Amino acid sequence: MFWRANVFTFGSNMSKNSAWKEIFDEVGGISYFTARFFREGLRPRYEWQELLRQCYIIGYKSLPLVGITAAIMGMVLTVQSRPTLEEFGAESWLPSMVAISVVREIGPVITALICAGKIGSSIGAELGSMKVTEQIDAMEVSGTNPFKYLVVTRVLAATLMLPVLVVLADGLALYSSYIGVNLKDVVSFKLYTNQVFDSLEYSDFLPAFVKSYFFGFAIGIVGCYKGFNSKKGTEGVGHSANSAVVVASLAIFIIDLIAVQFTDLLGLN
Amino acid sequence: MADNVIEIKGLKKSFGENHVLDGFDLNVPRGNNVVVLGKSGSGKSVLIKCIVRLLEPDEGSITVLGENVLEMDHDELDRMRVRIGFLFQNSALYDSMTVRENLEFPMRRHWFDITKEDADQRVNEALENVGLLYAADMMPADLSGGMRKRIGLARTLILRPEIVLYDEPTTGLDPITGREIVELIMDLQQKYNTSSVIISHDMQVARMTANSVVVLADGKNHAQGTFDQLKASTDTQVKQFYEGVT
Ligand SMILES: Nc1ncnc2c1ncn2[C@@H]1O[C@H](COP(=O)(O)OP(=O)(O)O)[C@@H](O)[C@H]1O
Ligand SMILES: [Mg+2]
Repeated sequence: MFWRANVFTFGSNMSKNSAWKEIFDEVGGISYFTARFFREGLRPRYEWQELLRQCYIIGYKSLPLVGITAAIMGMVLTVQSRPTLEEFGAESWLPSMVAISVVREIGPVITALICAGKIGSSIGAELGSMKVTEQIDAMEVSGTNPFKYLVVTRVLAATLMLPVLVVLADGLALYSSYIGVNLKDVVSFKLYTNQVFDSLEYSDFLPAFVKSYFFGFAIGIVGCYKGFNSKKGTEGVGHSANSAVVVASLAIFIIDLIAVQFTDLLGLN
Repeated sequence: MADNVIEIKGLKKSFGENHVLDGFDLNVPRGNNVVVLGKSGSGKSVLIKCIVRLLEPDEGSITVLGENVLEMDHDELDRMRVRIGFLFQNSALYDSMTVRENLEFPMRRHWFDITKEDADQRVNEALENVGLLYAADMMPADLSGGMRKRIGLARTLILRPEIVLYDEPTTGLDPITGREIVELIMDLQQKYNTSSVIISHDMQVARMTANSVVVLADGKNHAQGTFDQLKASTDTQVKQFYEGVT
């Protein structure tokens, strides 16, 4: 009866109903997981030591990757925008334009996507393999609440570290944009920074900064959720890591979309 | 009534339509080794996970050291878990920690006020017990299967539990290493005077360790007796395990 079972699952996987059901299951599962995060995270005991260790791993160890990406992004954006601006005789706007795009949108979103790839997958794989090799059970019988010890610390660390990474990425992107400007022009660093800071307002920076906390939270929650619900076997662990990245990246864009509506409503645009 | 460290009555646990345990009974007298035999997927791991409440049973009662485990709140459960050791099937060593940190973890978590010297001394003793003092600063990934099992055993025994639950202690090991592990288990059992439940499908383990053998089939305590009593049984479910055993 093997072929029969296969035909059945194949059929139901293809049907629209089950795809929708899967999405709702996923959203429901993640929402429940998030509620549990707040319930357990607020109660003592707090795992300070593990939180610090995770901040180090998630924040510090992501620096090189985030830094390189940001620098390249600032440079490319500058070099590519110049011809268009030149066409309108507006090349003096170059620093302002790059600054605004980096700070408002590109910095936070690119950093978050890079981190979804790096942090999300590593959390998903780590917790997934801990789950299938019963390390999480072992923790539980060792007088440790694994949800607090593993999940709360990682989610908090990701939430706290992402805005820091975004600010650093913004800075680096703008610095490499300065180099990009100087490839064709000669602009002093002082003039460049003046132009950048004149064009930036709090309403550019603040919503983007707040939004980064949500990006970090989403990366942490999704990574942990996928890891904690990993299926048995090495394939299960790989799948956890992979789908952590996919779902976290999607979540980042959805949060971005919601954030832009919000800032619009609040008149911050 | 005999002095039982574990008493299980009418234990039921299902996952959806999969009725894994369906009215299971078990008594473990103090100082005894009870071996639970069962085919792969028969619910052996589910059984011992219910005893420490890693899984919540649907029905039935579990009494450990005279206390009802199923009615315990979180703190009571933590205190009880110090008294029950659990050796996981694949040892479940924490990958991100060294061997030493693995052994320190349960101590620091259960005994908040333990001093550094005291902890160090216990770790060294535990490692000496399993003959792996030299491995203290290695990472679990660098250990062989047999070594991992030994370290897992050391970690399980470091809190000096009164009862130890072993989940397939020899599965995945070659016969010689498996035998060494069983001998080690027996030695340490005598040294620390523990009672135990050993789940397995390895008859070697049953023969070497069991005061009594229980056959878990169809979610029930299908047959029970000493190793030799069950060997003489004519029941087909029981005979399956004894096939090829001399
Ligand atoms: N957490 C779980 N969720 C769903 N099913 C489970 C779970 N744990 C065990 N099972 C099912 O219970 C049955 C018994 O599993 P287990 O106790 O691990 O078997 P074994 O006797 O080999 O140790 C299996 O069919 C398994 O699929
Ligand atoms: Mg098992």
